[in-house]
Amino acid sequence: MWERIVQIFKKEMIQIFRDKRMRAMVFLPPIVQLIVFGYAATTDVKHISLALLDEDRTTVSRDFVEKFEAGRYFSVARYLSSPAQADVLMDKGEVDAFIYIKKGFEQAIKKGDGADVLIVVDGTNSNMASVTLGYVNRIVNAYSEEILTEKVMRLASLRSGSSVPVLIGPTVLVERTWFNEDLESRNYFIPGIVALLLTLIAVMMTSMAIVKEREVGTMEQLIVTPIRPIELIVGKLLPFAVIGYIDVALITAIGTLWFGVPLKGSIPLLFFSTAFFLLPALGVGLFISTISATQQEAMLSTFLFFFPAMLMSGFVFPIDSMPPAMQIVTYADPMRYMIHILRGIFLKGLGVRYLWVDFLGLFVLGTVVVGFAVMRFSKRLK
Amino acid sequence: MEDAVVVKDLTRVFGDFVAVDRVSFSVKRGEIFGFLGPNGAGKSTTIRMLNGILMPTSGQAHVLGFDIYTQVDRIKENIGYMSQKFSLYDDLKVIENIEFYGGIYQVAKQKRQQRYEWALRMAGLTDKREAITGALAVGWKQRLALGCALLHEPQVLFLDEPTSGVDPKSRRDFWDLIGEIADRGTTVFVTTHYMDEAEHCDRLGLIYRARLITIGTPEELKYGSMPGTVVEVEASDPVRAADLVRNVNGVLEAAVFGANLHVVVRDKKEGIRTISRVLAGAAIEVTSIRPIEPSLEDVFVSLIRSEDLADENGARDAAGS
Repeated sequence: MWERIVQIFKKEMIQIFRDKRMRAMVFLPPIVQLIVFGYAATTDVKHISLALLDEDRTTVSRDFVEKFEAGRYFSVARYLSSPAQADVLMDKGEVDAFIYIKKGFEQAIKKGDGADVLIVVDGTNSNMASVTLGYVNRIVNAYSEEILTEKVMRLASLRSGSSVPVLIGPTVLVERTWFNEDLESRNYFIPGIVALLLTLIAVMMTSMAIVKEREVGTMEQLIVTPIRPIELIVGKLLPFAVIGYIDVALITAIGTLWFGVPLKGSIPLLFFSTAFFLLPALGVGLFISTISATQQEAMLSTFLFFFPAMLMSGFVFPIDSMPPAMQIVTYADPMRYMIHILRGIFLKGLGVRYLWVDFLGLFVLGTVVVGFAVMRFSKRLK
Repeated sequence: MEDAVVVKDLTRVFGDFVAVDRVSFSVKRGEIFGFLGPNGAGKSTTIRMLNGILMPTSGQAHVLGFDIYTQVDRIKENIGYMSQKFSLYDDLKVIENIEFYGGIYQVAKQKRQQRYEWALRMAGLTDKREAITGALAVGWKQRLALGCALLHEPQVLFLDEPTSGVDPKSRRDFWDLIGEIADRGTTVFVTTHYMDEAEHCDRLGLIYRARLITIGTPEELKYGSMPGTVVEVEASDPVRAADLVRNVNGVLEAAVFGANLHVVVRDKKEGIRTISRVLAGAAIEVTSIRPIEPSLEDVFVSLIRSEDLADENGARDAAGS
């Protein structure tokens, strides 16, 4: 039994590493994905360009505008002289937001009345718009608080004449993010790439390698030998599990060392969970090989599985925001569990104590998928 | 000893299409059995059922006494198979292909090295063991595939169109090899659609449109399938000779073939005697008179024609009734 598995495994490894394209398939995708998600595909909102119309032109209004320019999120791109100009700039997309300070801003603040500022945000990208509004609110609140504190202090010192001012402030919400303090999207995405690539390798490379044998005719030759289906399956799947591990190590190394993604959990647990995820992923690959006649068909079927699985995994879109019916469907998606495990290990340093449900999910799903695929595969051999 | 392959009423249906229709025959141990027929006649389907690649729809078959329904594993251990595709791994080296199949067939460890060297020698690839298989010429690939199929010293070797796409010289060499293999006691079951290759077989089965039409040694087929013997007569006046001979008792047919006369007689010896006497009596000079061998091709073409004719008649009868 082992002798034959070793033979198939050895042969497969020679074939993969002798073929230039296959070799590239092992090392290139992880690097490309890391570059894409590490640099380009960021959902962080920075460098919001503003159009500013300050009709007040007082020290107070200038002080207010400075609060925007001080941080790293906003930069004033245009100074306007009339509100109508903003329309054109927003239409062209030259600015993301427009701030309009009306005449009488300073006066209103000094009097203690509320002063109005108009802010218009380009809502084409809803995610960016809401983040922008969040930033604006934070800056405006901070500014109001500053004024309020100043006033209260002045009042207090006037009344008592003592040196200890009595502070009466409004309730303030202090925000603090745990596990990804800087809200860096790369910290969120890079651990997920592990699941993404394992899926691609296990599903696409495996199914294509099996279908190729059928296309070339070597499968028929193998069927005539005394090899048993299970020996053939194990020998055929094992090499891609090994490649999966190579890629996990590669992504983890580049992700943590180059992109500075934190790895708070244990590396052994990371590799342990890889095995659990490979089970259903290889099962899907094997299943696709039983429904595809050509390598192209196998590739198409892979993507038919891959995209829905990725979109429902929580890799990009939070599962909690999906409609309840969709949320239930995600339980059939192996990537869902793996993404959760990966983020848990990388960002929170979680152990099996908190992740066992996901491990169980992968195990159950894996057993079902592999069982079904092996049955189909063996039947096709006969 | 029982026969190597015994087939009874073997049938395979794909949807509406009957690929193999109640075929029965047997192959003796140590012989080269040829399965002859045009493409699509059902040769490969039959061989694939005997090798456990394909399940029959109905009928019985045993290979080396093992049942093809229930003892496929035992069959696979004891047969070798090579198809027209020479299913080798093109991206592996010659020796890697050999080692791979040796491992899959679990050739005994102490015998392995010796068998590998044997396969290399047989394929003539001893000094090309490190070459990438895909770069080899077709003839070499074919012999390498044969070597791989024989590593485990199978008792029966199945060859499915082993020479398609191979040049004539390599084909001849290949058949010499097959002869050597059979001489060492291996039963060889080979399918082909080349008539000249059929001559190398000890026995032949002709399969046509899913049915086995006839079976026998090449000689039996050539002489047994014709209603009589063909006698070629070289005479001074063949046209008059034909007229004269045609009415003689024991002559089935006489026709002028170029400068000669072809006479089909019921009995070879008596026919020749009668023809000589009649022509001598008519003062026609006979330079030579001898029986000639009909070619296998002639036999098969005539068999296939009569089969088609019978089918047409059958169809007409069915339509008429």
